[in-house]
Amino acid sequence: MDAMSTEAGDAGVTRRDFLVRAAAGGGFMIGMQLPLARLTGEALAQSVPVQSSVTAWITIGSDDLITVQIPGSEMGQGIMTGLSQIVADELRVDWSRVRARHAPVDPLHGGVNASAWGRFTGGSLGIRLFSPGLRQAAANARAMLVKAAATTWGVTPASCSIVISSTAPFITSVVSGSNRLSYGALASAAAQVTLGANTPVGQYPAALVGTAVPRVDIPDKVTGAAQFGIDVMLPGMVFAAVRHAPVAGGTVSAVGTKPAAALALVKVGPVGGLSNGVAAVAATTWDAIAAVRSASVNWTTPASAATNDSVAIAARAATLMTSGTPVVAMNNNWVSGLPAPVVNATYALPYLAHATMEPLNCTVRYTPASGATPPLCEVWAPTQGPDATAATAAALCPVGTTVRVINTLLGSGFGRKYEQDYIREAVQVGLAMPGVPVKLTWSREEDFANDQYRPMALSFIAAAAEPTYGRITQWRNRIVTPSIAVQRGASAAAVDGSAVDGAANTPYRLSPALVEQVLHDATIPVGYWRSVGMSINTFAVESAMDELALSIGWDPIQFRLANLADARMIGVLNALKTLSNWGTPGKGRAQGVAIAAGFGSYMGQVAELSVNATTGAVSVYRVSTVVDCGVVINPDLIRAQIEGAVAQGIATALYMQQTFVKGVAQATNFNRYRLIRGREMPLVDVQIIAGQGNPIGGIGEVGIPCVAPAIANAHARLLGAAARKRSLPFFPGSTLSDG
Amino acid sequence: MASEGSNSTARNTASTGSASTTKASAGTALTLTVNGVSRSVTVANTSMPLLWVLRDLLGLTGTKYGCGIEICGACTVLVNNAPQKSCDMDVGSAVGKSIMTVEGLAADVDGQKAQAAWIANQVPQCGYCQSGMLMSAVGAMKAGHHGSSIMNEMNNLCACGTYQRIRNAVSSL
Repeated sequence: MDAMSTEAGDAGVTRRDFLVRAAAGGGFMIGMQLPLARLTGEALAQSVPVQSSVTAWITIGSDDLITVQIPGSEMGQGIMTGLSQIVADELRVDWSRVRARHAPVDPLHGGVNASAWGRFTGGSLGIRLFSPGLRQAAANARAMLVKAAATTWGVTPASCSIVISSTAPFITSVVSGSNRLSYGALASAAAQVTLGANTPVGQYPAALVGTAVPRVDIPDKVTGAAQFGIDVMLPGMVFAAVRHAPVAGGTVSAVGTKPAAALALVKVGPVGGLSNGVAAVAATTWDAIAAVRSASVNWTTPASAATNDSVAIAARAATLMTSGTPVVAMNNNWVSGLPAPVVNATYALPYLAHATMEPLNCTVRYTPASGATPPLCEVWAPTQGPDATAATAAALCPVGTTVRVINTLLGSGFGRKYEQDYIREAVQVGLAMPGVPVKLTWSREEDFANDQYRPMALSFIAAAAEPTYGRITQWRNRIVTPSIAVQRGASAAAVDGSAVDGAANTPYRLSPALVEQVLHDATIPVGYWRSVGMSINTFAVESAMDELALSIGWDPIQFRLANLADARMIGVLNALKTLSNWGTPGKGRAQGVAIAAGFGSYMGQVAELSVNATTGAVSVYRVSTVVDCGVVINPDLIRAQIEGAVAQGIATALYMQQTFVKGVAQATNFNRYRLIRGREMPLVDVQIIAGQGNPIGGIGEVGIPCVAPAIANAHARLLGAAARKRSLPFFPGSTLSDG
Repeated sequence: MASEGSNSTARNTASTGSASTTKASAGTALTLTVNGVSRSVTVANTSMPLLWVLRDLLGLTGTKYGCGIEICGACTVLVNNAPQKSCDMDVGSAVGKSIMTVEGLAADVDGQKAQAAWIANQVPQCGYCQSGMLMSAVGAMKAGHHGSSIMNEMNNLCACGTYQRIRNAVSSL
């Protein structure tokens, strides 16, 4: 369990806080309750060929195709592929025979059976959480296949060996003397085998782990066959659309009569509280959106509307920066009476929407009780938290209802699809339409206006460095930000680990140093956005590092090296210097660097850009990246995650923000919440530093935090310190038009 | 694949009739030519966007809803071989025209090339925008573009940020 032990020393508090809450009663537990062999032995009677479940996680068909049941949610990060590589190596099968699907959402595949911290996907933990159990299941399955063969032949398992092959008649088989049976031929017998103990893992060298095998999910994603939540179609299905209170925190006061085009008009909202929206059910999604927009609804505007205003929120943050009550997140030999700091900089970051390409949606079919059969609630959901989804449905349905969740593919998640609001609404609408399957879709406007946003933040850094050795001589950082944890019930007196992630645990030797958090009391809902607090704090810290380097006339990379202790972080930065051709940007361009350590990985990026002298527009040509994420499962998945994070990171630097006027979200579609387009995509070159025996690190999020500060640092080098951008985004009014 | 749920197309019927529009009491019966097949569909209003007719009435869910305002391109289809954002095209104006969706790419020579390039370059991450990306690329090919000039014709948004691989993929087309 190396992956677990690394958490304590890294961003462990943050991740653990998140996970313990996510565990939904499963509790925190080191170690893995193993999905031990002899679990169900059920033959999944899907169709010919016969499928046999050899352990809960591996199904082998009589056609020798291996299906891995994946507990993690595939949202583009490649978790189906990475976990299947680990399984295939342990099971000893050829990659061409491997398929993957989301595991059924049931107790056998949920809670501690899925991972030590339950079944959810987030925190860049997917491979780390799920691979120990899946790997053990694969080793056990292999032993069961061998034992089944040995029993058939009346020989000892020790006399059997495994021959790996991809094609008939030599498909992966168990062999003993002249006896030979393929996995497919053995599967149904193997499913009945009982093992006395777990089979040791790692007995064979890796063949697939560490290689760039093609992704299992891509073929269906170029034909339209891939089924996301929004693509679920059922016989007799009707369609629903939702409309929420226009003001954050608003509620339904009165609803008029059902529009003629609607089959039903249903109030939706928090359980046990007031409704905050209405949903219309109609013959198509288009009709439902039109109907819900036409519905007459009176809304109650909360008193917080005046303060949940971007102008007021910014003013309040400035006030709290000087007069708020700080909570100490890190104190390393801090003393009073230090010389005046030379860098006194305030950095500002906006609220960010998740903007998943697939809008929030969920399909529910509620079948009432019939005779002795209890009610059944079926939920098809693109969710990062299938166990939480099942709990959400169960809480809304009559006691005794059978809840069945089907975890579809996710059209990206970024943290948004861990939340349960859209699930809850779909179940509420489903309950109002008994016997009829209903697909609830949030229009893009609802999706943008009712997000649980990455928190805004104001971060003040006062620091100094000396020019001889380039050492930081003092460092004080105060962060004013709303807290996800506090909004969800945590004590405001405690440090929110995610709010200070990347600030209280920088990679630098900082002494004397003081990092404080001040809670911003704005009630705009905030949530987990890819990399959470680290992208906020790394922008401030890495911008300040360049300002400090400039103050003593040091090169930004040399200055960072002078203040680092961790060999892996130093290794990344040295490699980055070479990869990026540091110091030799193209004509009219400048380079900027940023580094970060988090999610069990080490990251460094150099952005090279130019600025249009007339318009000020920024063109990013190249983002060089070096990453050390420990053991590499699939280098191409790592590259893809970094390439994508660069694209998203550029948008956070230049364009993306959500603002509010008296509680009303202002960016309600992609025209006012700008992503980059293809022609703005720089060259992203990625160097992966091989594992060196280090545990698996996360990769889904660590590509985000460095991008914005690297761009800001390059921008300041090109245009001078007076032009430094300390407030994101660079171009807050930027829009996209069609075309 | 990983997901479940059946793709029901229970409410559409295939026909071989020519393109036509017939007013009926329950709505308007239209005949559309989608991926070379005539499809009859009844809509309440001919101003309904083609996107929702494809998805909710014909069950062709490969075409995606992303923004509804012609910005993101997830809903891109080909109409008479030209890229068209189906979220902003009245179904009535699609009658009599040839509509190609992502489900039709495998039967199209340019579509096959684009799909192969997407797989060879391992382009998709979540994959949600890729139907529209592919349709935009194939539309550019059909307009005579090759290689990197295809990229200049593509305004589609991808939140996962797969643009570098798209650029590499189209460079071979």
